[in-house]
Amino acid sequence: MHHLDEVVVQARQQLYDCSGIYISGNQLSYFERQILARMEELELESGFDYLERLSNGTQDDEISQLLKRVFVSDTRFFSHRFQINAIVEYAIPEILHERNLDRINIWYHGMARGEGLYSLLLLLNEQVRRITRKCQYRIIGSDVDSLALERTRQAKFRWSSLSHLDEELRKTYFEVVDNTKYRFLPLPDQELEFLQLVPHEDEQWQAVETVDLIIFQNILMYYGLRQRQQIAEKLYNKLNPLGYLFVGPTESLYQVTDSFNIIHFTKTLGYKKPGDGSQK
Amino acid sequence: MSDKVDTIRAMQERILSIRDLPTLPVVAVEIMGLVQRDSSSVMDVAQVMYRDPVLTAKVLKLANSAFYGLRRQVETLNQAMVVLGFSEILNLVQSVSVVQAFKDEQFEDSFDLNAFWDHSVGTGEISRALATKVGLRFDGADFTAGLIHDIGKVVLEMYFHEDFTRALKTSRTSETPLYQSERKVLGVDHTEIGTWLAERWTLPERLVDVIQNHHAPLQSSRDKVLVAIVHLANTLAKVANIGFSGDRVVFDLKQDPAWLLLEREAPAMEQFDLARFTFELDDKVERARDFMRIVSS
Repeated sequence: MHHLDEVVVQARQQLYDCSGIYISGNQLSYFERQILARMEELELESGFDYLERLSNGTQDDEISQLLKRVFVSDTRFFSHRFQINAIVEYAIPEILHERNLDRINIWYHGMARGEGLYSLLLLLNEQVRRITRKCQYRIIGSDVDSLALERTRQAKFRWSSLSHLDEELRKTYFEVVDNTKYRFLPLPDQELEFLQLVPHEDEQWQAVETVDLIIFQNILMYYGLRQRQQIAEKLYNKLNPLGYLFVGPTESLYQVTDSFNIIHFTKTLGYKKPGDGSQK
Repeated sequence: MSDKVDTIRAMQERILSIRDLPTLPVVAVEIMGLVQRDSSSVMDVAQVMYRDPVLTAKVLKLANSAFYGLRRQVETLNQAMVVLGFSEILNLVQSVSVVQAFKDEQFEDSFDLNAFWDHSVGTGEISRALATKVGLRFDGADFTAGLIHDIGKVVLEMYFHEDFTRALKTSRTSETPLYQSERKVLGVDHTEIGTWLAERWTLPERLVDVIQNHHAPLQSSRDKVLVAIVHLANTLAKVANIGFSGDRVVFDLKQDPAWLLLEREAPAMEQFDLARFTFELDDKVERARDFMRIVSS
């Protein structure tokens, strides 16, 4: 195997072991470029020196540095199309059906710039238009960063975030503001609240009520295994029985928790809390 | 029960009265016969195989492809048998032969043969990877079984196109498994017709068993574990959306009886990371497509 290929494969393994994030085949060349960029920043000539830095316990921050490079914030609507489809097409109808609800509580943590959250709201509204069953949605959006929360609350996006959407969707869900921005319009049947929350600070969790669906994408990866386990347990406790947890599309909870059932959907998976709410 | 037997017999007669069934290459049939005789050696098999240069070339090309990822070039069948193992080569011969058997058939536009093989070869590759991950060894039978598990569908499409199309449509609109719609519309399903074809082709019993029971692995009386592997791989191939569209895909694999069987029988099941295996599916599909590219070339 070529030297750099071997470094990439080993770095991928280390990243997975430390964070639960899997770099899929189609992301590998991007991943390789990020490793090379980090090596340049650190003035390292050998990939194996970089691997040593990645695995060195006293410099464990390198894992976070690499993750930050690889996972730049989503700046487009529907960037995780399969996951959002699974949530709207299967998980939510299933929760409504199994628990005979007409109101559903959703918690979305990790705003970035808000495209992910508003993609979900848009698709939920489309789903409501398609089905006759009426449903109210209460959504809590949270983030560690108050600036990210404020940006999301304003719901203003650049053209590049939504240029790929159908014109009809753009006209229905956005209005042009300040000449260059597109503001997501408030929707009926959707109640939206924002909350600043740091996942590893226990007392802040009291502000979050029990919900039916949690989206917690690419957040756990920044924590060590013990903290990931603790946060996963808290997420489990914040979910109603039969509720769903969705983490990042290539983020694994292997060795973090086995309390949930893994449910497979088209090209994605979710974690479902068992019906009796018991620990497995 | 006797109604069912009559229906299957009537369909078999109808199939045989319409036109000849596709056949496996003579050499492949001869090899399968040789293998069943205890006295046959690796040399005997290689000698028979060399009589079919196309088959031999494809097997060697596969042995040297990314599909196996060997570090050393393999130049002769004997070498291939030493490096990959006799059983692996035999399974390769069976896989290539089954795909070749349908190569020259004409299909209606509504049946996408490429998508069919895409799903089949994906199931084969996922079967192979899953077996390895959970600590089981089938010497290539996992791949071959996955590849040919749905072969009955091709026969239904070739001989009962209209009814089969209706079954496909019913399955999609009513969100029921295709084999159930086939039973409603045709009176039989692809597992029964596939079993009949595989027996006529004298394929090994364990492959026939998988074709017959891949929707109900616990009904297998031969090798439940292999059938369970292909059953789960088939589900994961649907999750990966390989050559498969339109159907509702929601699975709780860990509640599947096949999964529970593996938990009892597979040595490394406790360490199996299902989420990661799911994330790797796209990479496996690409490897499987390499196989198909070589076989179809």
